[in-house]
Parts: sequence; structure tokens; C-alpha cells
Amino acid sequence: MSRDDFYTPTDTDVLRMENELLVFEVRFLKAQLSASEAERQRPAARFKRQLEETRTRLEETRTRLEERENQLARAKRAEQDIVSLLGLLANSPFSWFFGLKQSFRVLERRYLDTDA
Amino acid sequence: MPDVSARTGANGQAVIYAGRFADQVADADLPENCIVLGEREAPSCKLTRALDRANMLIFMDLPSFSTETMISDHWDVPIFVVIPSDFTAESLAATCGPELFEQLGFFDRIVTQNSALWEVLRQKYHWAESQRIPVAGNPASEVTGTVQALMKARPSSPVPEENGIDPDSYLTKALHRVQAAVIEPRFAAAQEKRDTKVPFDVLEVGSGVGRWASSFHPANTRFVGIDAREDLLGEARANFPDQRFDRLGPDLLLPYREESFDLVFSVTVMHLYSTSAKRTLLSEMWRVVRPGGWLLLLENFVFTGQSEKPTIYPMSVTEFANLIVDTTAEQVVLDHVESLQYPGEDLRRGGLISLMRLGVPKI
Repeated sequence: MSRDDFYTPTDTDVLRMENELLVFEVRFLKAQLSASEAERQRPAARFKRQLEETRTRLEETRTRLEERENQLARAKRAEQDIVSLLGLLANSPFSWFFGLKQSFRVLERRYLDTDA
Repeated sequence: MPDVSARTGANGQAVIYAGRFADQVADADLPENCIVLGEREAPSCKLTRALDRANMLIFMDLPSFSTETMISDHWDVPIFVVIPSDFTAESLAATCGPELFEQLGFFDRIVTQNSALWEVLRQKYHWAESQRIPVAGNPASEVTGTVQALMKARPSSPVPEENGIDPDSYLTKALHRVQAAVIEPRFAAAQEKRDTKVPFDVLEVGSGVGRWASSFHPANTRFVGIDAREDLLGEARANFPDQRFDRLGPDLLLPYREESFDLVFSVTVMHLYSTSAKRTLLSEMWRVVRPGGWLLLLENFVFTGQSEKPTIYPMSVTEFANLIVDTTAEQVVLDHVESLQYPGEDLRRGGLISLMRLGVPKI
């Protein structure tokens, strides 16, 4: 087929030209579809990464919180131990001896809430 | 798909909605294929059936007609609207603006004796001067004279044959609406991406009688049309006195500086030119569009060989795409492709190719 002369297209020419037009349109639409899917995936991947980072941060915070709670529990247990120990010493036959010591009296005031 | 055969040839009929003037119109000397409907038929099945076969629609009594009866297909029919003389432009715009006037385009006609009213409405709705049918006296009171004037206007309306468009008024408008449905959203998309404070520069290559000029608002667009035919340019200038239309010389070189337009487009023009001429035109269109601007090419890529025109140079879309790649040195991005099916045709013949020019603007 000459491109520079007028001619009367045959039925085959007509169908070929329509086919080319439709193929061209479909190729464009497919390219556009995959581009838009890539566009959709791009924010999705970003959100996924962001979600992972947030989850990691949440885990770290939970771990730190548990550690603090453990520390607090340990401190409370230590305080209870000190209170028990001081109680034992204050009520023992040697309490008069310990009462002579100023540091013992400070500990008594601090943990046994006495004015002695 | 609309049934085109019901409207064309001997099957088609002119539908005159005469409303309150039905009796007067019925007495007029009308051609055989006219149907006159009165106020009582306005909301009826009879009107719908008549609209389904109409190839011309005349609204004689605007206030008593509701466009709710009209479905999309009915708007393909050329519409003649007789403007009542006792209404102001403001009241007409308020009552008929969104439903009717905004739907009217280049292939519809407005019948009015009032030049001042016409001018206000023309500017508001971007109508072409050729859309007006001036009548002597009051159109409502001189119904017979008005109808006869419209019937007389019918054979020559709406435009002379151009660019392979069928001169049959119904098919011409229907085809234009198919093209407009595809290309006008691209016009809007191109405009959206620009700074609204700067006028949008548009060039149409092969502008003919200027039918696409009304798609752009003169307030924010500088429209320029260029065509090789002096007779069409004369009509285009008469149609749109506020727009600019230039002559395209035989060398096909566009008389504009490079990077002058935000949008350059052509509609069913390229098939009129040989490959070398197409090459020149495409490269010129690319030259005058700004980087980041748009090239829109709506062409027919399938030719059935039924045209009797001697100068048609068919080119398939693949060949045309290759030509674009060559002439633009690949400095374009394919933005949109869409095929078109014209009314009453089995094949998809038309295709819109939207391209964005790459590059850095020269300051």
C-alpha cells in the first residue's frame, strides 16, 4: 500500500487499520494500568514499611515497660526485705544496742515510720 | 448505539414543539415530514416517540417545554430554539441556562429578533454568530413566518462540508458530539494543569469554520485557529469575532514563534495531506507547543473507501505513531489514547492521541 497516493482501501485494509487502532489503544491502556498499579503499590509499600517500623517501636516500648515493671517489683521486694529486717532488729533483745546508732534510727524513721 | 437509520433519509422528521402556538403552526405551510406537537403532548410518549425519529428539533414555545423528556441521544439532533421576546437575558439564563442553553453547541440555532439579547446570550454561552437566525417581527406572534424561515434555513445549515464531515445536519452534530465527548475532557485536563492567572494559549490547526473555538472560554483562553482555506477562515472570523484566525500557507509552516502555545490540536485534518506534508505539519505543531504543553491529534485511522473526495491520504495509527516519533525526535510522552465509534457505524474509525512535549522552556 502506498502511503502517498489516494487509494480505495479493501475490506482487508479496513479491518487491518481498525485492528491496529484497537491494538494501539489496548497497548496504551495496559501500560496505563500497570503504571497505575505500580503507583498504587508504591504507597502500599511505604505504608507497609511504616507499619513495620511502628510495630518494632511498639515492641521496644513494651520491652522497656516490662523492664521498668520488673525493676519496680524488685525495688518493692527489696524495700519489703529492709522493712522486715529492720522490724526483726528493732524487736530483738539487742534493740537497745542498735538504738544507740544514729544510722539505725534514720532507717527506722524511714522504713518503720517510728519516731524513735 | 443510537438508531441512526430512524433519523436519516426519508425516515427522519422535523419535530416542532409549538406548545401554545400549536394551532397557528398547524395552519402554516409545512413540509410533509414535519410533526407539530402542542402543550398537551409535552410530557407524553408521543413526544418521546417523535424525538426518537427527529432529525431536527424546533422549540417554538420555550417556557412550556421541559428538557427532562430528552435523553442523551436526542441531544444529537440539531436544535432550533425560538427565544421569546418578552424575556430578559437574565431571566432566560435563570430558567433555561443549565437545562438548555448550556447544552446547545455550534450545530444548534437560536431564533431571535433581539440583537442586544442575542449578543448577551452569545457571549455568555460562547455561541457562534452563525448560530443566530434573525427573524423579522416577534417570533411568537408571527409563528407562521418563523417556521417558514426555519424550514428555509434547514438545507443550508449548519455548516458547509469540511474535513470529511457529512453535511447532513443530524449526522454532523452527532459526529461532533462523539468527538467532543473525547477531546473536550483533554482540553479541560490540559487547562487544569496550568496557572489559571496566565491566559491559556490554544492553537487549532485546520480550524475550518471554527467549530471548536466555542469549547474555550475567551475570558481565560487565547484561541488561534489556522486553516488553508480562505472561505472557511472568513466564516470562522464571522462566527467568532473575538477570536483570531490565520491563513496557513502552502508551505504548511506555522507563522508563530516556537513554544508559543500551551495546547496545539487538530481534528480530522491529517488525512488531507500526504506523508511529507503530515511530517511538516506535525513537526511545526511540535515546534510551536511549549515544553510541558499538549499536542492533541484526533484523526480517522480507518477509511472505508466510501468517500468521493479525491484527496485523502489514509494512514493507519501505527504509521501515524511512527511519524510522530520521527518528527518530534521522541521528545513527547504519550498521555492518552482513545478510539472513537461514530453514530451508526460498526467500526471504530477515529482515534485521539494526546501527547505532552518534553523539554525545558526557553525563557
